[in-house]
Amino acid sequence: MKSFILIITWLTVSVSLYAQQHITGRVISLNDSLPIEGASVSLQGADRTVSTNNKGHFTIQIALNVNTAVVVVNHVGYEPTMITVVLPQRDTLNIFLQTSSRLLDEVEIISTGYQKIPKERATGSFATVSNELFNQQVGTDILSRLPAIANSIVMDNGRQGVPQMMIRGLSTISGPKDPLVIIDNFPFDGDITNINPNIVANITILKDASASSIWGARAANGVIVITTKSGRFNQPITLSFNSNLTIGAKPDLGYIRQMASGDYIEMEQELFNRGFYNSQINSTSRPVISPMVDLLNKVRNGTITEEQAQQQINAWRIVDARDQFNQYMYKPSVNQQYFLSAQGGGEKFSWTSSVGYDHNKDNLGSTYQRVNLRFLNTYRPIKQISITTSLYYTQAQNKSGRYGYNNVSMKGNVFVPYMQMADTRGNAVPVAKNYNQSYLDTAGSGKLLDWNYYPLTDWKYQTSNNKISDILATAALDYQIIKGLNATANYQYERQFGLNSNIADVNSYMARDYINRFTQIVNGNTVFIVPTGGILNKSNNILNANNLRGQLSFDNIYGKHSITAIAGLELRSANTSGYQERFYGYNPNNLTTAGVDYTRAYPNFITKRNSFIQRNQSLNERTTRFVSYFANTAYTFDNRYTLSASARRDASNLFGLKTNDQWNPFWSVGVAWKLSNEKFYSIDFLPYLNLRATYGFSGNVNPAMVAVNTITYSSNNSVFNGNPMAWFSNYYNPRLKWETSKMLNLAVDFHTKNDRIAGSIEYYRKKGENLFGIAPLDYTTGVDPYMIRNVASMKGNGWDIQLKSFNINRTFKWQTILNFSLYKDQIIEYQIERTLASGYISTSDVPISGIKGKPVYAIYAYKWAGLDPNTGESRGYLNGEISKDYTLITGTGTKVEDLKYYGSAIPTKFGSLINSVSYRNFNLQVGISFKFGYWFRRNSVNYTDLFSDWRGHSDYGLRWQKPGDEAYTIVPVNPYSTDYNRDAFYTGSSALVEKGDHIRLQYINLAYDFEMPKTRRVIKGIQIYFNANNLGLLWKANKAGIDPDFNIGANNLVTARNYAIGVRTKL
Amino acid sequence: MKKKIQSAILLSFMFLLFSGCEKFLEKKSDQALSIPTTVEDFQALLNSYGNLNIDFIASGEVSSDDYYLTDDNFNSLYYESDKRLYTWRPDFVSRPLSSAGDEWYNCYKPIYVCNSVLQGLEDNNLTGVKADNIKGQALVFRAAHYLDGVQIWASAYNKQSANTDLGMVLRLDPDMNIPSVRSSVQATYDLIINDLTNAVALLPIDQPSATLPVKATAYSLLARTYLFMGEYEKALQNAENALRNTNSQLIDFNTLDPNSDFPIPTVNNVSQEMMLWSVMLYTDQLDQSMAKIDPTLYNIYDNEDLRKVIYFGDNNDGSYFFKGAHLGTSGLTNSPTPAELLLTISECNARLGDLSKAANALNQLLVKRWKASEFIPQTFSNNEIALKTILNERRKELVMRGLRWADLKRLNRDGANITLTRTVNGQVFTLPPNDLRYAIAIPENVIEIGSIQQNPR
Repeated sequence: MKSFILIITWLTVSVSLYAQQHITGRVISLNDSLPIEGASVSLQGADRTVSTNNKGHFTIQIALNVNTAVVVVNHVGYEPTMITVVLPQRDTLNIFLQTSSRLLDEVEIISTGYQKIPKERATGSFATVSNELFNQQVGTDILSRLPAIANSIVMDNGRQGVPQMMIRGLSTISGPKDPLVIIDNFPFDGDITNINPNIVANITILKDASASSIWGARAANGVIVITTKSGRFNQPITLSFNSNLTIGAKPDLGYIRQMASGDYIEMEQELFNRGFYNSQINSTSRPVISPMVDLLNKVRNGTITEEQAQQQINAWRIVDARDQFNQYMYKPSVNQQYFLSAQGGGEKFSWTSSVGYDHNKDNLGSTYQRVNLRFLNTYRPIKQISITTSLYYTQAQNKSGRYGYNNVSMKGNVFVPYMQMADTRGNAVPVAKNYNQSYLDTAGSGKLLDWNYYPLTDWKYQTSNNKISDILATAALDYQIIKGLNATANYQYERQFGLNSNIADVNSYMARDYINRFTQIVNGNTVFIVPTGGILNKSNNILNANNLRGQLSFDNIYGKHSITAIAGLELRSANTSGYQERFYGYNPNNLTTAGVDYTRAYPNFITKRNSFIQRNQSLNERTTRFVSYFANTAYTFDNRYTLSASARRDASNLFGLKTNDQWNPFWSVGVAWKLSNEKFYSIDFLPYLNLRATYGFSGNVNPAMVAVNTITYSSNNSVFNGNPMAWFSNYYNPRLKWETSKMLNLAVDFHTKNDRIAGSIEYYRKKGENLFGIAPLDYTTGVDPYMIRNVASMKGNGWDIQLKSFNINRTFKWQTILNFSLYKDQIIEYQIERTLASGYISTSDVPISGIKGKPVYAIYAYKWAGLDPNTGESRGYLNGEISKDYTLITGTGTKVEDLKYYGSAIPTKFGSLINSVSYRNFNLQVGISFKFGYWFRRNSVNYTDLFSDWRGHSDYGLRWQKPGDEAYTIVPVNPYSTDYNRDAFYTGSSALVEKGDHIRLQYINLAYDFEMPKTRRVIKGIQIYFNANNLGLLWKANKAGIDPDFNIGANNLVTARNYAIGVRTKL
Repeated sequence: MKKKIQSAILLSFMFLLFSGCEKFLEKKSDQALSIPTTVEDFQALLNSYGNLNIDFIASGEVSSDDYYLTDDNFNSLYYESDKRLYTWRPDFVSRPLSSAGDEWYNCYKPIYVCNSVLQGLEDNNLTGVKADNIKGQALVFRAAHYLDGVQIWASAYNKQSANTDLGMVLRLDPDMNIPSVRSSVQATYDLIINDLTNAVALLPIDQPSATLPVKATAYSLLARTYLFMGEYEKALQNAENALRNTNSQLIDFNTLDPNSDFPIPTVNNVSQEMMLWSVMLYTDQLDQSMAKIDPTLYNIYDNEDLRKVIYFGDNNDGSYFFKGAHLGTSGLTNSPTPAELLLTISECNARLGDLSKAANALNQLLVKRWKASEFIPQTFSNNEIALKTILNERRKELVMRGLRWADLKRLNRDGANITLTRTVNGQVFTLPPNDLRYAIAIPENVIEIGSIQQNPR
């Protein structure tokens, strides 16, 4: 707090000026004849520098005894210009600036969300994405474009089912891993897909602690600042229109490793003969049996003949369920995007408005519609005051479509490969699901609702509809107290309203099944316990977020000293509340519903087991609040040395914490040295050379972490007595602390002569301490067997290299941008180490390894000793000897040091390469991305899962069948018996680990600019563009035909290619 | 002066801002969250039947001789540990934690709740009728789970060696940082008896929900505990107290429909005999479609005994499945019932030499189980025959009720010399009386993490 007051006192120190004579002038862009605001004007040989005002005017003092002066004008994006003036000056000087051809500095002003600063004066690590680069891709949302173009951003697809965007790798283990997204001034709490990419002016990525620590508690994963387009003063009205159409190919279902139908049928035949299915066939709960088993059972019971069965089996052999999905379910996707914006400005007023409309229809016919409206006005009644207000409104709607491969199931979430959902004429046919189909055919003798499952058409009856509306309103008041010192108040309000309906109408399988299950037949009469009609699930979610910031900014130059500083206070509150509710007997035509008795248990029609009708009602409300103080200052001497420092304190309403403990400080310091401005500097081929170093401390907080024993009330009361029930949501842990993250950043920025090659090389080290980790706990305590505690420390280091080069710069232009990052992390401390090997191996995700010196996420595998040449069984090692004791190998017999260690599961070398060529009016850009230096585990056949859960894998066809096969296959023999440990060994063995390295052709963009006649300037420009996205792999290291980005998850589909054509018009 | 006023204004403004912040930050982060401090909070924790009343241990029943699996059934078991448990292997008989079938965890999870509630009542100085009731409930739940666990992971109670035999890890404090150390069998039983005895005085005859223990639950668990220990006088006394203090009634099987899928009637999954709604862990081995009733057991039921048709359904292949659950579903309960109490009274009286009281108690039960027209009351003249008959009736009545394993242990301890045999895929497995494997292996997982002493193998 003391420092806060100090800064204020220091900022108010007034500055006295003295003057003799002056030069006045105006700086104008040669391109569009508009005045340039904020250009810096100085006199050669003197220390004074001034900035132009909103009309481009400037006035600069000079000693009386001078006769001529050289005025030097610099502005971002323009060539530096020098003009000699004869004194005393007679006419106002008009200085025209030419657009710079320098490639690197397209966006030299970087935005941190708190201030805009010239990149040259920053010590921290910022990566910028220019508007032009951003628009090389076409799409509905913003963030998905970044990994292909931004430095140090990578999508990690290999560790879990959901891709995770990471900036400079990991900073936390169990805490939130998402970067913080800022829109203009404030964090955006809503759904980021609400924001239309067409309003993006540019994007700044804050990578190091110095850049991000100003954002405090949520910034440890890096910060993405999206700056939106705004109007300018004194600018004629311009209109621009962008429209495009994107067609996406059908996904390649051949990528799904589905077991061959013939193999599947033979396997079932053999298991049937061995009596494997008998208990299911005879079970009184009538569990589902596959069509083949049902058929064989009918032969055994004599209901059909061997010949009839054989005929059916032969027909099934040639069925591949994927063909039907391809024929009936998947269609090309069609996305349309329209965007119109207008902007203009007078002396005191500037404005921009836009309207956007997106309509997407995906491969399954599910639709997404979004309407965006935006108004932004800035009013400057007097020179010292500006008021900006903006309103951004989004309305979006998502409707479900047809069933894809993963939406259809017969048992669990699996179906047999010979499943037929359509007959030869394309009509829906029933498919066995959940229950024994032969039994269902007779159940209730016609007194129940149709109990069949028709996956081909069921999607028409079970639908979901999600609507979102989002209002983002901001107001900002900026008051210039004295020159160089501004007071700003910023306020942002966001309200996002989401309404979801899931409707299972009376024709849907879900509703019919649910109703039938509870139905009773009493004396031949049907009694519907659950009323006939649809089942409607409705839920809503309301987000209300308020952000308020008061800030003082100081920016001034005294001779060779330039100082910028900000300090302020910020309050944030985000409240989400919602409900969900279920209605039975729903009739959409007259909106009637019917009541049910939730307090009684009813017998299931088939199993006779009693159960209650699901109530599905709940309320929730969550609030996060932050109070923060922050200050940030930078001092530059003589355009050579810069020192910077920032500090911030955050407090939040983490439940139960004492307020004193809620505060956590963050800080950073940095230096920069512009070596090329030194007198002794004489490296000719590098006219620009800048060295930077920063060190900072930031934190990460998981809102779910609470340091007291807390309970959560169940949203439903006990069915036994209607009384409330509660359960522990957090266990008392007095030692819980904030996660902290420290980062050191060293960087060199350079340009070669004529800016032929420009770039930066950065090296960083980071250390995360007190990290939350999942620690196995002695569960004799009765507390969760895995608990999140401050158990780990990790360190990481890496290089970010960015190079931009002008390879050819004539009529034919060729530029290249290379982003290349190296990243390595390792655990330096993990308090509770597991020694049993099985904890390090999982086929569904990559567990945290937690071994000192090894990456946080690493791939380990059981050592593989090949197949037994005599029996074809998989073999591993036990105490160094070849063994088939799977219980011991996957149990106490294998310690972690006995496992084979491969390496990181996260790419350790990654980046992108973007080549742009232009010739006259043609522009072509090709974006390639690459990931190297990591491993993944592929799936294969798991016999226990196959027999028990029907989950097959095409590797079955490659299995060992006779001695000698072991020479060319690693797939074990079919043992026709379940053994969980045997299959856990094979699927976790080194036989299935692959290198993840690959190169991907991300996009190709071709644009043509029409030449506009100079005289009729109604249309200022028309550009048509063609864009191709997700073009697939150019190279991959693994020979198994797997795209490593689409490996986790049993039936992952590779995102299909898509092609867009569009037009941009400017009036 | 002006400056002083200005700084005073500034300071008071800052002060207001700070006190405002304190308020601003006091807002709950989740409206459904609470720190438990009130009787309502603690009652809500004990109301949560999904954590306290279900997942009683099934390993004992799985290891017992009431049922068998066919080879087909055995071969289709998903977990290797299920196969190992069925064949009485000395180790790796616990399902993985991720399957929610780790019974050690399932046993200690409710114990943690009870400890938290007991400590919470004390820390918040909560007293009065409501607080006493809650304390009584927590004590019974804790004792019930310790009694459940000690039957599985310790050898039978043996007076001579109980002070040195390995018992349960006794956790009485919710603090997770206290290391786990195994106590003796004697200490475990002492705790159970202490908890239940204290609870008797605190609990009412009736509760608003079948999921909450009542006075009779405490008495009947005491009777069960003393019976396992061989303290027949105390077992008898508590069983009688239980019957005196309960509203639970025996069901007359003559009124039931044997053709029903679940003939024992329930209201909201509770039969009128249950003295505490409790459910054992669902396991594949004990599922109706898997478990076949042991033919020798099936054959000892008299044809006039209604339990033969109420308890068992015909698989139409010469084998029978169990449908006599008290839950209206195929789930199994280990709840005390008046039937169990009568059998305890009968057995204790026989062991203590009062044959007429023994016969009287048994007849009270059997009259509700036999066809009314065919029922002939039992009379005993010989001590040995009486005990044999009563134990036989105990087995017939309490099939699939989670008690057989504990009975096998105590009967073998007393010299019954019962050897269990199972044949799987042609291989014969046996479990001789008093074998070390009667104390089932504690999950290897928790042995490693908690450095807990494993049962001798």
